[in-house]
Amino acid sequence: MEERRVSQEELIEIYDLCKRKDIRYLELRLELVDHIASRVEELWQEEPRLSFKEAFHKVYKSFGIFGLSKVAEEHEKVVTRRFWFTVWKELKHWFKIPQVVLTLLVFATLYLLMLNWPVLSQVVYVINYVAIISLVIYIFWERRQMSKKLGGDQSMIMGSLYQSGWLFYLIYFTPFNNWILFNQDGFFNLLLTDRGILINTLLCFFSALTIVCSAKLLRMAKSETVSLLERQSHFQRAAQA
Amino acid sequence: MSKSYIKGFLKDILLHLIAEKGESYGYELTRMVEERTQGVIKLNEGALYPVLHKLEEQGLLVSVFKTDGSRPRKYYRLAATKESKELLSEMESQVQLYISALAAIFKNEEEWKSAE
Repeated sequence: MEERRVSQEELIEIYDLCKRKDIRYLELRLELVDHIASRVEELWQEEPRLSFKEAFHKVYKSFGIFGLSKVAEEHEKVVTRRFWFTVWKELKHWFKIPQVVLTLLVFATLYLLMLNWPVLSQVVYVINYVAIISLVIYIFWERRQMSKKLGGDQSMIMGSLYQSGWLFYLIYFTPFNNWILFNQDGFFNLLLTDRGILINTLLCFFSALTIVCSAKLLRMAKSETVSLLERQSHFQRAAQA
Repeated sequence: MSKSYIKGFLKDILLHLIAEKGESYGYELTRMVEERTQGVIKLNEGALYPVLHKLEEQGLLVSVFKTDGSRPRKYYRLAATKESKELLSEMESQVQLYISALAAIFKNEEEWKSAE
């Protein structure tokens, strides 16, 4: 006897349920659709008389009282960690031999240049600030474009790009930045002092790190969107048919 | 079996099975674990997929979507890097060491109980 398989319409039913149950990352949703469908097919081997709805209900119940929400919740942690993992990997790369020589050379040169021409410190700060704000706007816009392509859905990398916002926050709103902003000597005058220049160099370092990591993730997100679009269209084509 | 035991070894279990099979997917991995342990260890989806994705992000696994009949299926395989192979062999020797250490502890415990 031929093995009973989950039909396209039934697959779409599983796909829609996963979407309704907050499985918002497309990769995970596609994997869960296959997982649930495989379990339904296995159940049909034991109980061939079950309808799809009965089998699906049984499989869904086996996910426990929190159902797919628990899977979504656990998965969110992986997405959050991904950005920080990329930052950590990049940081390690910058401090590896021989790259560490270049890293130190670039930032030591910047520090010495600002020390010799303190007014440069103010210019660098403004450029840095504008660059970061532009990057935030660019990431936001790119994410919207990718999400539009995926019909409002998002990939895991797109989700982890949200985390870059936290890094910007840590860079620009940490106590040591507040110290610059609220110091009695005035923000711009403080940038001319030795300590201000050192802090400014550190800010440049973190900004460069954030920009490089975000750019890498953005590039990965773009290529992933193309691949996911193809997988997703599989379900959409079936739905239209 | 308590979930906390399984959680500690989940990464090792998955890497071992994927390396052995060549390539595998989520559901197949849960079935392999269940069959081999005769149902003693059951992997739940909430733990399985985050670990698979974490291993992929760390560069230890690589994945590819293939179409199985009517649906896309994500297959994982061990990354063909020196680092992943070294980690696998290190992990396997660590697990073996851990198993024999535990066996030694609980064997003594049994001897002690029978002597009592």
